Amino acid sequence: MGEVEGMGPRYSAQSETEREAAFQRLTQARLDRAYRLASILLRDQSEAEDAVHDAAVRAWQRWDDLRDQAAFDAWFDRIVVSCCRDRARRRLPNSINLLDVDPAAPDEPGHLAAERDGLRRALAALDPDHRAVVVLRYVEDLSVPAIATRTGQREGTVKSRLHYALRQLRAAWDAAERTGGSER
Amino acid sequence: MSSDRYELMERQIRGILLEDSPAGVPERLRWLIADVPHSARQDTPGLFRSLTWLRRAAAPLVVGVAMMALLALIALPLLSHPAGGSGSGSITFSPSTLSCKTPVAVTATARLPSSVHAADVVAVAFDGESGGTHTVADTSSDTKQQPDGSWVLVFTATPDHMQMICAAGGSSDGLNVLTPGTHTMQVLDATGKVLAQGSYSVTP
Repeated sequence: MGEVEGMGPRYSAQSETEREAAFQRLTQARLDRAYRLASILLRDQSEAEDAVHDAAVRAWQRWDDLRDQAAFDAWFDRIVVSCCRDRARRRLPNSINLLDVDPAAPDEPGHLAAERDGLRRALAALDPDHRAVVVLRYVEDLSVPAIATRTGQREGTVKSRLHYALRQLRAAWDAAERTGGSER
Repeated sequence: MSSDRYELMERQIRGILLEDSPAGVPERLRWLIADVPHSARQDTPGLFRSLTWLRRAAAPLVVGVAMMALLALIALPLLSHPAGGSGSGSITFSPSTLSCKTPVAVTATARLPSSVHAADVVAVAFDGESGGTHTVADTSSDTKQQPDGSWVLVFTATPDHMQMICAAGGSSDGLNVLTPGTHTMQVLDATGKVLAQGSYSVTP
């Protein structure tokens, strides 16, 4: 498991007031990013609210583990990702039925719309672990080492999952292109 | 797959994922996060669960200042005249008489007794019907604790909110908040005790 830099007892000497003030300042500053990340991971804003709240509770319970405030963002992201994966796994049987496909934009060529729909379905079908690495890579623009930090996985595992996920997405993209092409 | 085509696919992936990006953080989530250390100090793990449940139950109320605010807008304004009840609080509506003919901004100000504490969950009832819940938190902009320990909760509704409810026949989330007549709104504690109450009128 990749260890988040900055973990370890440091705040134990702080007063309760100082601890709470630091927690409030850092979590509120990170809230927008954390909620966006959770919403994209879970594709459900209500679930995302619960996940972020769970993460904040967990972060407060482990506050003394945070050694360096500069490492807070990655540390908190990791907790958020973990809470999201827990929730996503619990609802997985139903989520497969939620492969909604939005209508193509009016000016979008038919074949591109088909490919986009194919991608959308493939993204929705990814399991939580694979979706997480794709989201962190393409939405958060994170490097493999940074993704490893936020998912608690080894870099090799992240690369492998990213590779597998992209293979699935590429297959869906190509299949949609062939289908679209045959209709053209 | 050519590199151009691969780049196009990557752009599409990012675009699709960002479709689920929210417009912003719900205010209620900020309140809940701000309440985390306090709740933990109180050692009330059950509270977190109840807040989550509450949040869902009150979803219509809070959806973007919305439901709760809407109900409050309508309900609280309705409480403009403190009605005795068993609580020591009151609710004041401004204006205290409403009409769908002229949708206006409505402000409802509820004053809750000092027996209420931060993180307490209060229920809102409208003509005796449950209208959802609200978490008391002095970190929010519309809930403030007074020097004497009492609380002031302010709910506001825009003319657009009012118009939406009027367009729905005066009902919001199953509550007839803007139907002609006199309506009563109550804020109750977890035991069902009335903390504040007030009435407002709606003319045809």
